[in-house]
Amino acid sequence: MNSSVTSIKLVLLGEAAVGKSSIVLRFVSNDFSENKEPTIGAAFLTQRVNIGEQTVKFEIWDTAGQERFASLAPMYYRNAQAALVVYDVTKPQSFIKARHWVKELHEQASKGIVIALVGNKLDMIENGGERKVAKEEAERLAEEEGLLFFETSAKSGENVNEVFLGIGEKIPIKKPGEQANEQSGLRITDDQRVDLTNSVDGPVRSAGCNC
Amino acid sequence: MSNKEEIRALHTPPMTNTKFDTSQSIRESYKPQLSVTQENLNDTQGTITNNSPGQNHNHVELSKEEIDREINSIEQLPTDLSKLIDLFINDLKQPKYIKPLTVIQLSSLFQNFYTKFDRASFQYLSTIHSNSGSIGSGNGGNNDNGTTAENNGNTSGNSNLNGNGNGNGNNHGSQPAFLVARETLSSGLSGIFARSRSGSGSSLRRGRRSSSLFSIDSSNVQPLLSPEEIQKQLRTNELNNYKIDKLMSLCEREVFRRILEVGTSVASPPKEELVTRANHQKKTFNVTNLFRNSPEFIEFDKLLSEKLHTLSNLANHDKIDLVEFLKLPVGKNPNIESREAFDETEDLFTNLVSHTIAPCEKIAVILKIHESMMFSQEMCNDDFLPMLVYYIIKVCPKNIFLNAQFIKLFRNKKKLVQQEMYALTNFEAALVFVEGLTCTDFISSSQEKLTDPEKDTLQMPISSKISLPSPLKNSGSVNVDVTLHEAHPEAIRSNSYDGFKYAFDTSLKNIFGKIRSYTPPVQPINLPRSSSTLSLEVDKKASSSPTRNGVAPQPITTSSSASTTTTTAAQLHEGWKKYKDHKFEDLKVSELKEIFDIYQKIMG
Repeated sequence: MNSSVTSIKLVLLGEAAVGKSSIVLRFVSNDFSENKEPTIGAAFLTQRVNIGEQTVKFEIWDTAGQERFASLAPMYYRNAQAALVVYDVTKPQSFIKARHWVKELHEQASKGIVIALVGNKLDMIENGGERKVAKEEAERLAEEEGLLFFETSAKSGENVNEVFLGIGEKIPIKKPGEQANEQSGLRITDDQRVDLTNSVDGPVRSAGCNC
Repeated sequence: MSNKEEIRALHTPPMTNTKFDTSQSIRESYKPQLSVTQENLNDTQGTITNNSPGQNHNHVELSKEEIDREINSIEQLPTDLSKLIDLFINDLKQPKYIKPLTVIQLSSLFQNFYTKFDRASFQYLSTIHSNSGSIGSGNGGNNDNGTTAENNGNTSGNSNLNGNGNGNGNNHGSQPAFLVARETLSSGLSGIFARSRSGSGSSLRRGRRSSSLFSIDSSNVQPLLSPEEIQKQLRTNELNNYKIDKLMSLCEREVFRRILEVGTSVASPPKEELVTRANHQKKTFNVTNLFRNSPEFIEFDKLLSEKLHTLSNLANHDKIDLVEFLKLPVGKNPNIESREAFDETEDLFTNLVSHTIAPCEKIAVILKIHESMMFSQEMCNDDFLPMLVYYIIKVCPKNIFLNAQFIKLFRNKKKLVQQEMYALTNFEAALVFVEGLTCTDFISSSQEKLTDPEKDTLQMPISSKISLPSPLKNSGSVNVDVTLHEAHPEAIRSNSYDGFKYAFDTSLKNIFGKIRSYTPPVQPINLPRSSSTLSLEVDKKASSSPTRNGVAPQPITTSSSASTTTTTAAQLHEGWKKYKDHKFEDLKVSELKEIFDIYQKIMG
């Protein structure tokens, strides 16, 4: 209801058991507020974060990671402003799947969707496990595809908040006034929602020239 | 705090400059100071959730009890708002469309109505609040100091932005009464916007503000609201938002309840049958009637039902192992296959398809289904979705597809967001998964066990046989809106006489059936123009007047069409005579129009 809150629909993609929901639970579990909004387990969660002067409310949609349900993913990422493509740093297969998700998102999701590539289970390497996906390889993919890239550990919490802060900072957020003026009435929202269609080039477009 | 901000400022590049690598910067900024970031994050969340007034003036935290108390006090729609529903249903039954409306066009009409109702609810609550504000201030004055405060309440109510706070000069001792009276000034959004921006200063300014308020020469100075007053206003606003939500859900329920009352049969049944039918329908609302003019939906639903039955039979006869096929999380929750779990879910599905009427009630049941499946707070969609598919196949609920589409199309789009939207998407995803299942999806040993009819049913995805209207084909989201506006060019209204005649047979009435004439309880046609405090005129003009001025002056039923012809002839005869002795120069435009109408009727 707060007019200064901007909602961001964020969808979680990645193979089953790479720790998608664990990352989100870690991110959300920092908040002990009493008036928690209703959720559906860890499948649908919300979390508010202050980024600069804006309050951003993440609406986090989990998807089923089994290959059998892969064709249903577009139903979930439709109208999403952000996506977290998660892989397990110890499972190369999950990275291959992540590549597919990135490709599919670029082809089928909203045009300006902000994608973060996240290599999870970093703690396993720190505890002596073998890394199977090189950081450089993932970084290269991120660079080629224009993604944010993080390596995290949902278990220890390492880098988890940074993923969401990074996404929040990269998404072009309009000022309440601008939002009101440009309301087309064609979107289904109760709060303000970022409209990616008007800002394909992300922040660059929304910037005013200082010279 | 300032230190932390400085650190951040140094390492966070301007997000608008491409020369900076944002990800690199974020990584470098936060990595060495993870604890700081963590603390910051907690701080900010604390600020939001704990509502520290010094830092966040705009956020108002209401306790759950407070909200519940206010919301529960609204049990039914106020008469003024209830009238809107009568008018809407009455309008739906006007024969003013050239072609029968598809379900998507119908949905568009409903969504427009919800928007209007939302606005009307806001106006209604604002009116109530400003009225009670005046009364409250009057009473407050009486209780405290006497007559002055009462006057303040009344005068201030009339002189909104001038803010005649100086009238309180005699009222130093009655601060509460003064506050209440002042609140009357700024009830409604305009009041808040006009005044709160100047009242956003710190409480340090309060002394000065008060002195200027109470001084004699301050008549032109707009008094500032104190932070407490702003909070109070915001609280009222926030509460009003909750109240509007409640009114909207009551509206949804009421609209469909009344549609049920009106009936959905094509022919006019005998009276006794009507009573029985009404009772029956109250128990079992059949959404199929709304999809009558969109047969592709009905066909899709039929095929999906067949497929579900086939799959259910296969599972019951152990021809396929659903648990294995769907990789159900039996390891985490062994109760999935239990009789109790099945019975509970079956009850919920029955409730969804048969015992609920309004879309808001149906979506609440879908949320309950998710809740009932939940074995852990940390359960993710890797577990939810297969379980949902499993129960849908096992229970085989009737018209399940149409029910999902009904929610998607007729739930107030403003409220179909967040977890409601997620639950519905999950539900739809489960249905899409089932409709897409074919023999080849199962292991070869299972395929060998299939009979020919079973193979036929599972031959191909239903979506490859039936194409649904584009917004729904993807079935992913309920961005119905966009499509509706495209697909619904104001439902092809006709102003011509030909269209009017055609409308007898092909009007929206065909959707709801050529129903017995519906008489809304309160003033069906007479708009609440004079009596109502709501400013509904604009809405009315948009929705009803075209009907009255243009195509259908009165509700006309098909059964009366025969007599209409004779009446028209008689009226025509009267019309001829009426202008017999008139000179052309004396005729008014309206009379000329009338003559032209007569001419057209003769030619017709």
